[in-house]
Amino acid sequence: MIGRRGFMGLGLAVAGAVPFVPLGTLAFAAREQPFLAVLADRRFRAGELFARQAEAHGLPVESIGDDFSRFWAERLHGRWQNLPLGLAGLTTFGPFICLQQLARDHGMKMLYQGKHRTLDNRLSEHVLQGPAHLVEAVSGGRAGEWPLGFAQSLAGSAHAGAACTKTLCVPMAGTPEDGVPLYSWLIVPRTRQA
Amino acid sequence: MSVPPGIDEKRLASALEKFRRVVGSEWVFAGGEDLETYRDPYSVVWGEKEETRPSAAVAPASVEQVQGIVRIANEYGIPLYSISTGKNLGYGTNAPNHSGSVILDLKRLNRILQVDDKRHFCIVEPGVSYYDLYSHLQANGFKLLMDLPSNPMGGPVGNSIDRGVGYSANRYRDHFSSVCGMEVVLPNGELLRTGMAAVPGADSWADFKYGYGPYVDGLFSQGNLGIVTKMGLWLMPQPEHFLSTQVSVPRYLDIVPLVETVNYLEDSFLVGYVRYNSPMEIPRVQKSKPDPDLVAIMLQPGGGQPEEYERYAKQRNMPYWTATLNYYGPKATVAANWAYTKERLGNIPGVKFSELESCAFPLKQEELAKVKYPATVGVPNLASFALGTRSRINTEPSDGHIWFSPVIPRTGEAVIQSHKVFGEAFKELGIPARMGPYSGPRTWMYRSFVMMLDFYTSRTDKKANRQVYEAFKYLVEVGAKHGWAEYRTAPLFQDQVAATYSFNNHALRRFNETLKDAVDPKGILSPGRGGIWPRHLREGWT
Repeated sequence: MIGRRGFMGLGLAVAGAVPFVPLGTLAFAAREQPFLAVLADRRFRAGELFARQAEAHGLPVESIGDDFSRFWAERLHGRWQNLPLGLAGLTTFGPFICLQQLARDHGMKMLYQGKHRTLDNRLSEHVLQGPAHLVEAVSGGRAGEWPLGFAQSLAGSAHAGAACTKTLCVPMAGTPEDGVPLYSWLIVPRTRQA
Repeated sequence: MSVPPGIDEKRLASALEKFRRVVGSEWVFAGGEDLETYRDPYSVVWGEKEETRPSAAVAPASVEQVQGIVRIANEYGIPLYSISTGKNLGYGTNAPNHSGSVILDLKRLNRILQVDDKRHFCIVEPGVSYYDLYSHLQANGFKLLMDLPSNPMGGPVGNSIDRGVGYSANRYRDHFSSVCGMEVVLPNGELLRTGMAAVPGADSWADFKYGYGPYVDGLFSQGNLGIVTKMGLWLMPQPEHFLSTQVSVPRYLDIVPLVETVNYLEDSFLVGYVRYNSPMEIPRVQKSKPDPDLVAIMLQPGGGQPEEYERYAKQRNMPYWTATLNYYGPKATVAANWAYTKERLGNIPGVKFSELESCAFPLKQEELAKVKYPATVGVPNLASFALGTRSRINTEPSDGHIWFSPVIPRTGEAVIQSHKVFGEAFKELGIPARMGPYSGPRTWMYRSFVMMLDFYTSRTDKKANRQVYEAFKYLVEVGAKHGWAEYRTAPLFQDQVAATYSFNNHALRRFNETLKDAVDPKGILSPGRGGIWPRHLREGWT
């Protein structure tokens, strides 16, 4: 598990293909440059944990619920038409599937996705697909800390590890999220085949 | 490289090379991450051998390029599968009907060619999404209201020709009925225009749909006789006022007089839209906590009996049915129509009336934020993707869904009968009923009902997917025995659904096949779409 020091000074890196945009060079908040937003559903404990970690690193966290229509229409639609920008999130199914579809139209792809749900027997199931470093970062750590692992992993480097899929069931930490599956995901520009 | 059946790699490679000369190398996708995006994320056979995958994709930028691609496909016998925005989630998305087809992705044909807010129409290309059109209308101050599906990532051309539906007034909800004039690329690459668009120089392309002679537009809807490259669409004038109301009735059988009266009101253009619900249908929203007593009734084999739900509702002073009625028009007219509605429905014992929303157009931002269903006021919204919450009824998490959507007559009696029939069917299947005496009919096709339910799909649970697949097929057969057939379906079920329209030894399918053989003898356009296969791919053909 990365300690507190490991979180300090990390930017959010886009783990993706050409064109690669190292997030350490991107400006957030006030400056006028392409932004990379982090969407978080703060209605859920996991979303709140994730959002706080991301905010602690000065990342522009957008709080969204099931309906992210306004964010899409007012913030992202125009931006993606001009410049494909990476995006990450911890959300419910709606924003996850919509952004996966919309990303496709703009030369983007979902590089990493994780499905997280509580089972009836107080276990948490996590089905993770993506580069090994992302998958390991989310699946490592203590029970209930996967949102932190996800936020941390976004600060990692690009092209780290071949794609892999991992499913794990671990004892649930804290109270169940009412059986609502949550999705962690990262969208990046696609690699064009030569 | 995967190849279409009957085509070898060399032949496909040669065709792709010619495609590249038409559209440019960067717009032909023969593998890699770009081609991976052409998969149906909601497929109930995800990762299984039945999942259909393309061999390549090509994205032209103009009608001339589409014609060029089609001619080459004809020359080489390469099957194409055309998509517009590729967002037909629940009905196949952007995956082909027939594995090995080359996807013809029309997303780059994305011009809004004309908008007229005096005659109330637009003419658009297939790559225009509902969001694009909405932004255009807003940016240019057009006083028009679009009818929107629950998925506005799609586009009006693709949605209309798949006979998609919406949520505003009357005929506008039936999207194909608002189509007026098309331009179509035929399987031989020739360009056809229909209706008044077939008259050179006519300015009435989107005024009069029929033109002269046989009305052929329907042949290009849910079919595979041509590729629509332009389409006229009627839009609703932006009304002055919107009023949403609710009528509540206490008993199960009240659905009969309720439907009868609302039919009259809607067919007389006094009511714009009706949505039937029961408060006992467990809301499919996140974080819902259904009452365990209600869940216990629902989890009975077949979904429980109306009397049990009536008792439940009465004990809690709840109505059995609610009908949300929406009105569009001048404020005085809207108010008068609502008053008349109350007068006509007032003879149902125990009926109650309430007003839900009332606002003037154009809506202020703060009003828009409060509108319960933005699609009803012409604003695109993605909230419907919140479907799929795991609950005691839906015990498996959803990675997508497919729609079971049989058409039934527009009567309360038919609704009641459908509850009995499908309740028994779920009992036979031995799975929790996904429809019950609380299921209200959908009214998108404004002169008929659709009893819709969703089955959830999974990316990982193949066993659950198989169960869904078998259940869906069984319900299609059960529905057909009662004269209820699907109005739209995913490619996996298109053959079965087409077979339910079986009058006179499947005369309809045979007629469609005759047309297909004549117009597309090589069978290159979307083989299998609508259950229509070209000669060389039909089973049992001798």
